[in-house]
Amino acid sequence: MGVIDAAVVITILAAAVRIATPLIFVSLGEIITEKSGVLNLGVEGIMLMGAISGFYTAYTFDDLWLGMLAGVLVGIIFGAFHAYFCIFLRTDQTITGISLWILGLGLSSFIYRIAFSGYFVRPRISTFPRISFPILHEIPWIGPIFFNHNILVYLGFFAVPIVWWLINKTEFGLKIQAVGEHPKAADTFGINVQKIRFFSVVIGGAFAGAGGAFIPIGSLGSFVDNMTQGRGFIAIAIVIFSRWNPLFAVLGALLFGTMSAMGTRFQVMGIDIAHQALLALPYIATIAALVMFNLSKKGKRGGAPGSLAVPYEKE
Amino acid sequence: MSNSLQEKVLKQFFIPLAWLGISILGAFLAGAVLILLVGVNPIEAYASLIKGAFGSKYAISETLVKATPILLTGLAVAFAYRAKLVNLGVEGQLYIGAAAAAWLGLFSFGQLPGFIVVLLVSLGVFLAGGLYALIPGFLKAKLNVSEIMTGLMLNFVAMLYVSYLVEGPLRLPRSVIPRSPNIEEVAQLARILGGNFRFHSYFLVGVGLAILIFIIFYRTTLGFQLKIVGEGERLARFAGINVPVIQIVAMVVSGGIAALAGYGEVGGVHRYLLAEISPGFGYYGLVVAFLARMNPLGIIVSSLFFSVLLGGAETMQRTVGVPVFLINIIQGLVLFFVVGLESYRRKLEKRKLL
Repeated sequence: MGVIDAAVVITILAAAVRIATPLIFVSLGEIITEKSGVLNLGVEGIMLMGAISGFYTAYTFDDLWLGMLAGVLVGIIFGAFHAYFCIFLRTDQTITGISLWILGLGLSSFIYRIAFSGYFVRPRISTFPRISFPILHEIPWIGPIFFNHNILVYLGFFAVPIVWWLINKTEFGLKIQAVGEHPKAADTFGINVQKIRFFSVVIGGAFAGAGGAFIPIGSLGSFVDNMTQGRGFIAIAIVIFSRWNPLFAVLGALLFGTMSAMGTRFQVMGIDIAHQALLALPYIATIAALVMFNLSKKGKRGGAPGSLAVPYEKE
Repeated sequence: MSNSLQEKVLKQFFIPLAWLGISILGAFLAGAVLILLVGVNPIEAYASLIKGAFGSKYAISETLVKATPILLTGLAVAFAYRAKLVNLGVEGQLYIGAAAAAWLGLFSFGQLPGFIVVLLVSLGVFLAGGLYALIPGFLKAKLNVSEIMTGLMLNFVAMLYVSYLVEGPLRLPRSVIPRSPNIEEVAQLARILGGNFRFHSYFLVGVGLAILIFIIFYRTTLGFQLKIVGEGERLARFAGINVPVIQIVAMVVSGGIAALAGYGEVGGVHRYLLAEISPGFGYYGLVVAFLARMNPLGIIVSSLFFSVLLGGAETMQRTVGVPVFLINIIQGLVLFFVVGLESYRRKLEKRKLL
């Protein structure tokens, strides 16, 4: 096999960490949203809106951080939009999420055409530079894989324990879990169910916007139509088989990062497998993971918040 | 008697139609705001859109050409949704149908008459799409894996598979944009308005299917079983219905119908397979099905409506400079209006105003 040596493995795994980052952002946000009892299937659309607004802002003002901020803000707006429909109008959350996705898909490409009409060359930005973590980046294997990335990648991983802490150790987190499990009981304890849910969905939107903005700003350097390629939906799948636990979600994201990285890398190396088969890997792996998860729990909704996707109406 | 009949007609026909009209109007107004923001006169933009869709005999034919896959995928979505399954995999099933049509259409059929060949290929395509939809159907029915997630993931797999086919085993040698050779003439679908117009027989097949599905929904045992399963598994089991079987049937038939849309594109429109055989017709199908509130006959109307938008969008982009993606935005907005109005209707119902 000579072709695949240590250097190649390290390249693939390092790329996996980078590819996993937006998935981590989005699934962390979706965990918060779903813990409160609301399903947001529209994160794919929010990601695309985060990507275009992040890219446009970063390009126009030549400021990457401002771009990330724009992505987060647009994520908040779209999250609030979803929250308003699902929580206050009590619409079907599945269909509302799909609507949000389709809206984001169209709106992001529309804005790109308007903002960059007349450009003959695809506009590009220079992405965040890599920062080698002092000392840690010298550890063999671990160093080059985990500690030689741009600041956003570190931020994404850093957010994992924070979100875990937020959900499990803070008053706000416990309220989120309460309204997601037993909204009626929470209500009798004086918790404002709709308010908590609204904020949870908005926070989820912010994360999805950040995850979307990461792709042009932290990785690719340009915007392409439908550039998320289903990653929002993969993030939702990760949430399911990580059993709504941020710590497991990272592992899921890394698994899919590895699948994608292998696909692209083998394609570059000219390994004799149709590149389409390799590109299909993450999607097939997602299905396999969902199947395995449901097999292990015999089809029960193991770990799902008790009132997920059930609107609450105060009597 | 006549009073209750009047009430029935009003409730089942005119009120839904009114809601539909409001949804469309709302989406158009929101679209007009966007056009204004771009700095174009919305009336001018919409006028150029209408002209693009109806301006000539060729334009009308092209508009109907676009209605065909949207109608078929819309019916596919409605069939699965009768059992409350959201088949988001219609786009992938369309691609698999297109691939199957290309495979089958490249066979030599000897002396068989065209009618029989088209029927055979249609059957094969339907089976291919049905088998592909069996994956999400089976996983949902037996393991309770979300058919939404699996369907979506399989869309990407199907698109990559078609891309592999046209770059690999089915590639027409030396084609610049990778494509398959033309399928056999007997397997091609008839162009009804003559060779210069791409309007083909599958539009009529779609209309026929809409009527057939309407009958299945409201007049057959299967339709009843689908509906009961859709109302809730517990109730269905109580009624002695084998829930997993009905769920699988719903998905397989849905996938088969969606696959026919792929045959329409390969056999009627292009005559060959290419990687981008569909610009998201499956997602339009989803929107038109919800817009028609899953009524098969209503889907004929709503798919025609969206085909007008699609058919005129390029003219609008060329003449007034509003990007075609406006149509995708209207697509999303229409859905929001549909779900939003549904919630408003529930509120009115509660207050016994409707």
